[in-house]
Amino acid sequence: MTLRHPLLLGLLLASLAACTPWARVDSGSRVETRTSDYSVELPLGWVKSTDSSNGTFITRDGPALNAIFITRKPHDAKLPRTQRTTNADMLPHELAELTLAEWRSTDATANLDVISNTPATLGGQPAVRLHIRYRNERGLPIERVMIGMVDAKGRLALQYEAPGIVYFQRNLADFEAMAASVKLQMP
Amino acid sequence: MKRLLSLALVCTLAAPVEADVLPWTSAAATSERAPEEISLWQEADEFDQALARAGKVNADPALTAYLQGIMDRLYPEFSGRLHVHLLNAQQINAFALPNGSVYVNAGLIARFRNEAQLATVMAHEGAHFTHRHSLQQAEIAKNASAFALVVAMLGVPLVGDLVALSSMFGYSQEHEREADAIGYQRLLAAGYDPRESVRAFEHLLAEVKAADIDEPFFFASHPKLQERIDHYSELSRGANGGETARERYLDTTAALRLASLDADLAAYRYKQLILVLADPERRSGYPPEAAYYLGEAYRQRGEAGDPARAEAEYRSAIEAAPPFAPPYRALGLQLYKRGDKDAAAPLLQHYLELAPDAPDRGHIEHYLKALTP
Repeated sequence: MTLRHPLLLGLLLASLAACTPWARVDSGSRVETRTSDYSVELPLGWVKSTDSSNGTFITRDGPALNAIFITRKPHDAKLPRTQRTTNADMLPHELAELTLAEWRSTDATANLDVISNTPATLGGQPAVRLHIRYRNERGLPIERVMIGMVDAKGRLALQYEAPGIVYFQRNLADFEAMAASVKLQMP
Repeated sequence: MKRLLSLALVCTLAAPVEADVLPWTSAAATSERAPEEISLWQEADEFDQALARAGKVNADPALTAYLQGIMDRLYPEFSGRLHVHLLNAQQINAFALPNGSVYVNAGLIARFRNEAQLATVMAHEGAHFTHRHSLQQAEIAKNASAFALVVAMLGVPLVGDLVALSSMFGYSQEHEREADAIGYQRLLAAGYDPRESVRAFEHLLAEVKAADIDEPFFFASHPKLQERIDHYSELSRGANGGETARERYLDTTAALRLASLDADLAAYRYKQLILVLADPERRSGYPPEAAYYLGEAYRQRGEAGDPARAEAEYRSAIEAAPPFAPPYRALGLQLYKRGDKDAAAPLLQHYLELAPDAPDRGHIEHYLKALTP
């Protein structure tokens, strides 16, 4: 079949455009707002996945080289590996403990090393900052930082991951600035 | 990747496999290998190296010597050929490679109560080697080759999946039964109490049930645990006497078993911890610090009444092992959450005094700051 009909061709192009999975983060689109919940300023120059079903996912040079995930889940959403839930009374170190258990139960990160596990703030609320390193299946060291917190609505986690060589340090400042921009909104 | 694996499978399936393979009679006899076996050994050697490179082998000399001593007692004529390695893995597992390397997971050692129980598993694995089961089984040769290919391509084995590994080196039910029978005879000949062979698998079955783990997680292709218990019960009917070597086992493995409790706690395996430590008989094999781990397991479970159970265990650990820092932290945090500031602060302070380099120091100092008026 050939696409001779201009309407068919137009429809195809339109549908392809609609399927484009990435959108560049620019000054007009950098503020991500979840109504009555939180807002965050995404780093300029990164690209954002248009599929937001599992949260916000952005990358600068490709998911294998740097990736940031923002996830917001209600407390009753079970963590996939440990099958545990969170609650509003959890202290930051308890959230860290659960997060590490979840990662340790995942094959890829089972042998992780904790570089630091420290108190932090997110949107002015007590949070935890976890920094880990693991080796992927090719032996490449990968570093991950997560800043997370719980509140009455659920858990919010910002996670940055990149190869430990060059890439992690190169884009860490973007992540830190993004985390500092989080504003929690009252309903 | 899949295409390469498929290629390896096809190639190995096409390779002829010897039908009548005689068992080896001694370490010296293993120098006479069938052509297919030479290749299997090379792959197993590479796998040994990959595991060591990946840092998965616990090289503790005392523990390794202890495990090797058990194997040499079971298979004296294979001394120097059957090499036992301790794996830093918490899954309850053990497996033998075609070249005589036998891997025992730390998690398995942590679950047994005496040397005779561990010897049961080691005798079984040794039989796979002496009876050349890997050579006899075309399917296994296939899987070993496929796995070796993965190792060769990736540089390291997929060591996060050591459970999967056992299935790759799995044996047929027929070979498993043969290894059970041979292993049992070796256990008897070495002077161990054969009744412990049944108890070893009863412990594992209890763990499977407690943790809701799908069988077959243990030895992968082995018969179901209940069948295995039945088989060993049949073998050991009327048996009595023999050594359990409980004290030696508990003394030699004390640090390893305590480290396993840490690993279980870090992975939220509280069901297993409660199963082991709430049983007074099994608890007696652990030092007083074990009370802390049981307390933490109750905290993680979080059922009605668990906070009170946890607190009682923390207090018990503090009383029985005063220099052990973690229960001060655990109790302090529990009181902190409850709002009992006056009681929480000194406990958290004491924790930091006992463990000045604690990795969670930042959190504790943060909480202490919040407690300060």
